[in-house]
Amino acid sequence: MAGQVTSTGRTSELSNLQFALLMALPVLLFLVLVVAYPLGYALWMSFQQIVFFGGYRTNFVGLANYATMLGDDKFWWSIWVTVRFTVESVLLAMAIGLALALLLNRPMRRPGLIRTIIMLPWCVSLYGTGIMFSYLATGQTGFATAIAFFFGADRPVSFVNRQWVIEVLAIGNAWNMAPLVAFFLLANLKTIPTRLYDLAAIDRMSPLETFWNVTLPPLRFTLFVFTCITTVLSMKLFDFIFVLSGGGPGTASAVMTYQIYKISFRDLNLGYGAAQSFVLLFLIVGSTMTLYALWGRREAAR
Amino acid sequence: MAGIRLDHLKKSFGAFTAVQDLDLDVTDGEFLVLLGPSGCGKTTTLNCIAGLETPSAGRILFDGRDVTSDPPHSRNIAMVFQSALLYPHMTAAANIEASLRRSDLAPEERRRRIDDAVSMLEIGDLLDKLPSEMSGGQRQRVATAKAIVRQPTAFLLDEPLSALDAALRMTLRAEIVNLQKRLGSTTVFVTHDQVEAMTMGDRIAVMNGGRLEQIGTPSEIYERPRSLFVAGFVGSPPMNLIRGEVADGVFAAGELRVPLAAAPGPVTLGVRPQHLHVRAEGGLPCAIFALERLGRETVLIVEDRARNRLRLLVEAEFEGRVGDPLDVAPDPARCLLFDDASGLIHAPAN
Ligand SMILES: Nc1ncnc2c1ncn2[C@@H]1O[C@H](COP(=O)(O)OP(=O)(O)OP(=O)(O)O)[C@@H](O)[C@H]1O
Ligand SMILES: [Mg+2]
Repeated sequence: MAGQVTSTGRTSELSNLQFALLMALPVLLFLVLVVAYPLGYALWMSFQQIVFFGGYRTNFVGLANYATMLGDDKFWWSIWVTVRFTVESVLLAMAIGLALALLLNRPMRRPGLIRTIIMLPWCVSLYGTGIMFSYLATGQTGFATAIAFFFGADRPVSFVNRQWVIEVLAIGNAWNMAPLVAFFLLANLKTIPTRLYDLAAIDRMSPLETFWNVTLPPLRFTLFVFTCITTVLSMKLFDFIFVLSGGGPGTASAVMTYQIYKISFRDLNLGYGAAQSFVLLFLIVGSTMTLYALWGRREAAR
Repeated sequence: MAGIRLDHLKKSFGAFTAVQDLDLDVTDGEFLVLLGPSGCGKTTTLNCIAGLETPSAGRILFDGRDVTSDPPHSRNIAMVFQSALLYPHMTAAANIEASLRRSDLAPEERRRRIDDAVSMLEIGDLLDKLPSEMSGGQRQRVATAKAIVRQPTAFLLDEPLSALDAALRMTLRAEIVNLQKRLGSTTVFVTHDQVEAMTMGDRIAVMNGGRLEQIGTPSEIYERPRSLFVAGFVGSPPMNLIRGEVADGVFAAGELRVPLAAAPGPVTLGVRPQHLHVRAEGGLPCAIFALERLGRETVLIVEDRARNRLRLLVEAEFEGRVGDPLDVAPDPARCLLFDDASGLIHAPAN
């Protein structure tokens, strides 16, 4: 009976799928406009050789841009720099975020004020962070120089050098990101019943075991989410690095975004730049998918 | 195993005092039940013994050794928390094993203890489940298993049977007592269920409003409750308490007269339902208010002319309808008298 009623009624109604499509139409149009079109255009560019001088023209070169990459040392170097910068940024952001969260979760006198102060770095733009860390890390104005001079040294200490510039970048990036991580972790920490710590005490767990078995489990999903977010943000980071080190010294901090910028807008080799952007895109998608497969699936199952 | 002594224990939360001046001696190997209504400080007392709360005053001694300021992990306690607390991300099996993490038992012995606990509490098919996938009663059983696999100084069990069905509760009551007697382990068992207290405890400590009302064997508590509170709290159906006055060796309350040799003055008469009898005539005239048939016997609730309710136990076959008139009279030899200030002042000699 009921089936009949709905099936006859359906002639004048939309099915669920049709309705959903109709409702989603504006969003789909928007996405096509702002995502699919530029993406498609970039893909098209990556198969072209684009010439500006002597009259703008494009020559179809097939996979030649991609083939060039294989033998391009600068390209491989930029991948390595990106990976190193990303891994360090993620580890630092998670570690600092976790430490801040644990600190904020302790009873204290002015929790609101302290939380606000700790949140501040996140409110600074990456551009500003870049300028600040550039001052802090270089020899003439740096933090390390000040300390060294205090202890009687007479030569400035700079960390913006081939050996340490990536770490300086990673620290600055993590400094900017960690407060947000800390706040989400703090929200998780607040949900842990204090009796659970009593249970751990009764079970005679060591502080480390207690951390591992009581504190960490409710944080793991948040840690996973922020590991993904920080990975993506670090891989596509540009302005901060541009301001702080400009890819230097030499090519020491030439991450992929910087390399793409240089190829596309200084060398004006738009086709090759577009091809490298696609490699970066796949690197980003690939690493988040790997993270999900190795880690996220387990956390989501909980 | 050890004896536990609480010496003038006091615990306040801010201005509120949850436990006051508590003196308690749990002898080595004893099964002591802490009985009391909700909020009387049972859990707080247990937490102090475990070291999870720091007493505001007083001392806690294990075998004469002062452990008041020792942290929980140095006290070697096994505990079932009231809320059947388990690690939420661990399976039942992992939760139980977490108890034995710090023990120096041989692997076979561990296995045997876990297997014993699992079969006793009938949780074999729960072992791979997470706490969030279990019912409240199942969680309680896993939490109990987690506690009993240990070889602690003392077991502290906070209402471990409260969420179980009647049949399982009855089985586990006997199982827990049996296990406790076999291991000879000092046990403090918290409950607000007086049947549980009566059936399980070597002794019962009745608490009320953060204070100890009375401590004694189940029959002492039942036969000679020291205060009106204990008299009303222990026993099911509860004792009848009738306010009245003694004059010239006779207790009088409304139309009720009971010959009792006691000092004159205002008192409360206490009589258990089984000691209140139906009379053809000459007793207190009442009318039937309700009949509760329990199968083996029947609880008769009657109302006198002043609308006071009384309960009496009659045989299962008792015939009567709501509203029927009848006379009731207490057995004078089984009546207790209580004074508001000093508690029990008259009890039958036995
Ligand atoms: N951390 C706390 N802060 C403030 N008051 C508390 C705290 N813990 C317990 N109390 C109060 O102390 C009193 C005794 O609490 P407790 O948990 O010991 O009761 P209980 O006898 O175990 O009751 P129940 O049978 O309901 O579990 C209660 O009135 C409670 O509100
Ligand atoms: Mg309690």
